[in-house]
Amino acid sequence: MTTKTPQSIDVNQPNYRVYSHAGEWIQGPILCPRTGNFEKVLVTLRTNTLRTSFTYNSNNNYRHGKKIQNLAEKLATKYHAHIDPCHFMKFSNIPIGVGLGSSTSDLVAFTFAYLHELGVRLTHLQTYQMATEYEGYSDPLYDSRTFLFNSKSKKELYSLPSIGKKYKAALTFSKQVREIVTDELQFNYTQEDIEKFKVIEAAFRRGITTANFKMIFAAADASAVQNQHHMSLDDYDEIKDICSRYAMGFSISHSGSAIVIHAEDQNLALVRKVLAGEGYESKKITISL
Amino acid sequence: MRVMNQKKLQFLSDYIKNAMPRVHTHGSDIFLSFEYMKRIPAAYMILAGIRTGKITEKTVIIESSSGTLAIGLAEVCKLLGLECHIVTDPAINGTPEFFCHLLGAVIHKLDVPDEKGNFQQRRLKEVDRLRNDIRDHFYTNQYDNLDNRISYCQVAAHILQQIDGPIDFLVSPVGSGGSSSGLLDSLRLIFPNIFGVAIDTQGSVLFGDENYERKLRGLGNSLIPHNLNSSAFQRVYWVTQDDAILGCQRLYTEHNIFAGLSSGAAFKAHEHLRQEHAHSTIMSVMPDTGYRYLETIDKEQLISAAVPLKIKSPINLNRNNPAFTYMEL
Repeated sequence: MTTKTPQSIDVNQPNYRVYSHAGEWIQGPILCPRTGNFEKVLVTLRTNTLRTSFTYNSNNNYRHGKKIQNLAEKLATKYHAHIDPCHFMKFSNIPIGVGLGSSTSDLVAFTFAYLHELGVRLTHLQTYQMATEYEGYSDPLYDSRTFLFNSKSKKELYSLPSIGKKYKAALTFSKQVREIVTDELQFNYTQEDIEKFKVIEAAFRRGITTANFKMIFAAADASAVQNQHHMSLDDYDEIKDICSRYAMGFSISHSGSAIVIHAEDQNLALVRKVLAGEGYESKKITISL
Repeated sequence: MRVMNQKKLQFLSDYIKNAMPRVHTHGSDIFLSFEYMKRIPAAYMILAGIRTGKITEKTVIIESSSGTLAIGLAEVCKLLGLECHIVTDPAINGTPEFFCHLLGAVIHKLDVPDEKGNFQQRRLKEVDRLRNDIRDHFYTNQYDNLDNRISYCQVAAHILQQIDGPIDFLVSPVGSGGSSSGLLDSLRLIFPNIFGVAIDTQGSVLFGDENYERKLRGLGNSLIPHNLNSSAFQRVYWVTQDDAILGCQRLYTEHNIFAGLSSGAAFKAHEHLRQEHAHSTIMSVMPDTGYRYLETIDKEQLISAAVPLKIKSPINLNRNNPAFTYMEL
């Protein structure tokens, strides 16, 4: 194996950036066409605000976690060339471990950066697949499409094409929760749950395809309300109360404790103030369709 | 015990999809126009019975109906090769009875009403008798079977794929409570502030009137069905047969929807709400087409000029001189 000398050492270029998603907007049971069984599915939306980027600079001596170290070794083995990962500096504003895709964003952004410096040119899809196969449990965030995917395998069930719309009116914040028992959902679906999720999914899909954010928010809120009995989320009532007074709804990440409050632009400052008063630090985000 | 084959179950799912309403949008007026709305709960209740193992290829289906649920069940049973028994009364005369015969359903038609002039209680007694006589049976029980109500989630999903704005008012004829409560519940998942408007008729006990002979059939009831969640509604209209006929006439001439008497009754309320709320989105349920009623109603009445609305408020139902009436709940 040779140690590759990167072509570019400009500290300002290039910047390999990956955008993450903002929570699981709707979740519920759907008949999987492949297995014929009802499976819990999730839908995420990309946000341009939550992002991870890597910049190469040979003068860097940046210390990365185990996942990035392992990924760098595997990429080096695959392409018979090695770049020390400490030369890649990471910037990320994604909260860790709350279900906003920080881990997957790290891996994908690092793979983009590493392969670029090696001179390997792959498509976004190929790069994404390469990055996430090492993690084995990654969120689909490789492009701007809206995904409906299986909650266990993270396999895509279907996707809706991007329509290139953005919306600024959403806030995200994280909180420590006792537990979100979403696995319970998998085994306790009633026929009514299944049919109600079809209603929510229809509204969400209509909202996505027509860029009707009020419809998207309404569907996400319905999903959060519908799933509340399966979650032991502390302060659920408090959050619901804030939403009903100042916002149009909220969604809760299934894998962590990321909560996205959906509010119209003119109400964002007010909602942030209320959240701050309750001890929650929030971040204004943009949703992309 | 032989279970249904997968192909037949797929036919049943397709049958439900094909029974979905046309969504007519005229500005902020939305009309859900079904050919036979009750095809949907008929197929869904049978599907649920099959899924839970209560219906096999030898099971006999029993139901009390004098209208389109009978047609729906007869169609579904024909499709699946099941024996179907419909307990009914003279209101089934004409097209529904003809269709049921055509489809091979067994009709048990009662001729004599109870002392109040209605057939409901006697029909249910006949259902009980059949259930005692037929060992392997499944009583679909539209009044108390929750699957009747749940089936309308699929209608809500169908509607939501076609509309963009919130719905302010949902106007539904009420009988078994399945469509009215089911649709209201499921649309409120997305639009929690929908104002629920129930359409009833004089002589129906659903919203507090006494039990006496109902002139207008297809809605109302002489018992309170388990599927009806009356507290979900904010207003009820009691509509006479004459007003329902006028509603049919106006619905056709104003919006080109030729629908049945329940639909005409709903349209009378729709028009009244429109007078009160010029800019709100009002959605009304039109449960069936009007062709079967041409056999029984006075066509001269249908083409006569519309009379002004007669509104009384609060409730003042007069069984000797019934009129279009409404009450806030």
